[in-house]
Amino acid sequence: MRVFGLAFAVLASLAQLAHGDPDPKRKVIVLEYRAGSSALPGIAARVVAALSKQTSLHVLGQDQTRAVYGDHLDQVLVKCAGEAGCVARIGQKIGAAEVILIGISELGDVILTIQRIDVAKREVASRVADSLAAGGVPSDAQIAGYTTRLLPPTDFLRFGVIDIVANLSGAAVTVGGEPRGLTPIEALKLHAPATYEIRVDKAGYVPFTTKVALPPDGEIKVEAQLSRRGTEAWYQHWYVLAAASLVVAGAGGTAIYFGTRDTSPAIPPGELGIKGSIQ
Amino acid sequence: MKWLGVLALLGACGENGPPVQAGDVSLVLDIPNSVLDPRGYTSVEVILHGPPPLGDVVRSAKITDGTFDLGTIDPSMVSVEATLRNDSGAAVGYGRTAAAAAFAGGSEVVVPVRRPIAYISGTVSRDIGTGQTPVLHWTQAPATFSDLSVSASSDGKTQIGSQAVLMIAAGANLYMITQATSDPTGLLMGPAKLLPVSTADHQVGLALAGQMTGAVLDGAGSDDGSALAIGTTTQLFAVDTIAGTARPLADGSFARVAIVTTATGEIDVVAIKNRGPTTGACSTAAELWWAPLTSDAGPAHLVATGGFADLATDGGRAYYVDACKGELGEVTATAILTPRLIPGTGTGPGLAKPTALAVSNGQAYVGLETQPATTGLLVASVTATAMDEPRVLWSETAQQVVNAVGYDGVQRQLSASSAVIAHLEVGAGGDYVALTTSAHFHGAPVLAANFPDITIDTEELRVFDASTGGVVQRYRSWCDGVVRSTFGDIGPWDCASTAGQTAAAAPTYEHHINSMTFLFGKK
Repeated sequence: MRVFGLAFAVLASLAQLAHGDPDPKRKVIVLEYRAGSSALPGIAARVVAALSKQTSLHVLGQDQTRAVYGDHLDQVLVKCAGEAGCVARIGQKIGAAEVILIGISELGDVILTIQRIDVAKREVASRVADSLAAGGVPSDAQIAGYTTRLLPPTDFLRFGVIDIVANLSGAAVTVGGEPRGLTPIEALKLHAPATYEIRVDKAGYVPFTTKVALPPDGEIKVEAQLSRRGTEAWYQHWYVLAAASLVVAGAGGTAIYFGTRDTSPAIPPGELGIKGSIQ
Repeated sequence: MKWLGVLALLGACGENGPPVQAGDVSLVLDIPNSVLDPRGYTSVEVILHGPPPLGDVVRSAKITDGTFDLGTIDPSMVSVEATLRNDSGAAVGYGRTAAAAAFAGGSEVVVPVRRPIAYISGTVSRDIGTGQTPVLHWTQAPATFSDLSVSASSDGKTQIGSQAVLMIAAGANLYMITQATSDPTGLLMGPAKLLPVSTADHQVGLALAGQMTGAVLDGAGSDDGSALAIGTTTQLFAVDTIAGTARPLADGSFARVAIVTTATGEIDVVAIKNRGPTTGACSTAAELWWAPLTSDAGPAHLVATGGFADLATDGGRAYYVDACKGELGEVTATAILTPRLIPGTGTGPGLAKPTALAVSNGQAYVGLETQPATTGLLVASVTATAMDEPRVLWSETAQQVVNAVGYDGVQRQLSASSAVIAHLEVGAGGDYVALTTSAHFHGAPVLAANFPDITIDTEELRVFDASTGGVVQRYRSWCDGVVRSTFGDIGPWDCASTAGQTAAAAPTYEHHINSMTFLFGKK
């Protein structure tokens, strides 16, 4: 991975921004700035949709921002001409932590720039750019690629909450195969979207098992009712289990038989046996 | 290589392995007995080729104590391909017989088997200037190899030799060409020397006596390792690897060469002279040449003129693709036969050009280029009358992301202005298909983002699972650029890697890709 560039390039007029992990639910507004270009119509709306789908950010599009800021939003944005400090002031009035500014210009190709402006610092935190052939439209995968490069990786880690409540205390809780402690247990914050198998188990009681699909930012309450063993289901009786074991053992024996018997056919007339070795 | 004692050894293994009976054919898979031995195999898959109407028979067997039993075969079978596979079915060794010969009871058939390894080689251009116009210094570099029998991703650290400009596989044999480079153009010049490389341990041997003139462009080898064909900018050469001699076959610039071994064992060379660039307007001035090597069928001669872009050989036949007509056809010593048109290819807006070809067991892999910068891979039967629907195995528009060095998160995505398939080859008898691409990117200055005017060139090796198109390896051997302007804050840039892509571990491992070949490759 070679570094290439001008030997006399001037560095460091803008200091690199040190990122902590910003609030994954912060307010972000997405604005569009066009330098005399009508290319890529609806690109800001597509970025809003992508961010809403991929992250837990509170994303406002241009129309929603205009509703709060006022109808002069577009005039102010034009006056800002893409300058980060000016655009940050728009974000400040909306109460946003960041502004995603999408710039579209044409220089033979269509130039798409997406800048993430930190409102508090009034600086560009990150930016991506792409040049697209005239008439070209970025695919959904490309837009997803832009946003993942623009925002910190922590923004794409999404969570949901599963609250498991049992009618007994001291029951072992297992979620997704991992032990999580004994009831009563605190609500669990887990990666989402995902499907989790939940098991609540206590000696002398019939285990409770279920499977839940946890959506991003969703909260699911699971009420586990454990009942004492006593009237066992038919498949829990010892004689049924013993019979099943016999069937399994029988199948194993059959497999061994087929695996070891001699299957080499007699050589038909006019054919040759072929045997080999690795030397 | 220690195969002479196989019968005795088989007898010794009789208690554990299948017993050898008089009248059996003994198939010996001959591995090098060295560090590059195939490892981890648990089964063998054998394809036995027979004459029509017998066709091909596929057998597989579990390997026990180094021996296996494939049952019975028709004695009319004439050649063998063998693939050693591990528990997950991946090929860890492959080989085939070089010549056709009927089997006989009590006979021994030896198949050299090697790891499926892809080799790439090329020169290096370093910018030693200090201004906006690059001043390139060209040097030679070791070849890089990707061993597909191990799961490691390429990082350029697996190297051979020190000055490889071209690698040529000839069955189980491997050769390396060295030649001087010139500044600032990078043209290869001076005598081209040929050195054998051991496929047992990758040791480089002494140069053969024969040398070639002109900048080397392409090479191919016969399955038995006895003959090589090498195209340069000035001549087409044949190399006798046993005598170590090189002799010119024809004058001219030969950018694509292939070797065909006919059913009767005759070895011929087929080559493309005056191959035009595949970007831009289509050139129909390319010439197909045929040169008999081991027979008295006369000197090298012109067969046809057209938009020929690449050649391949398989099963004693030679094939070509015509980039201008969008056709896949067979070439003989005297004519081109009824070609097969490839749908969606040819000249015209939106049409792809077939520019690369590899054929294995009747299956053609065709590399496609669609302007401005989309490359793809299509699979079709090589038979002109086949009714199968060609299948697109892979297609991608070239893009490259560059990082602003020192500015975390500042990236620029560039779309290529051109992308070209340079080499295409099938490995391990059809388990893998590999190609190399080169792409050129230009990013106009973007004042709003402080992005400078920038150009980038990349070169990549991609290895696919030939049946599914799944990516097995994607290694970027070269990514270098020039920043032609700057606006204050951002200075140097470097190339980012995408998911599934690996790059050279350090700049010292980078090189351009002048050649790509597999041991026992088919192209």
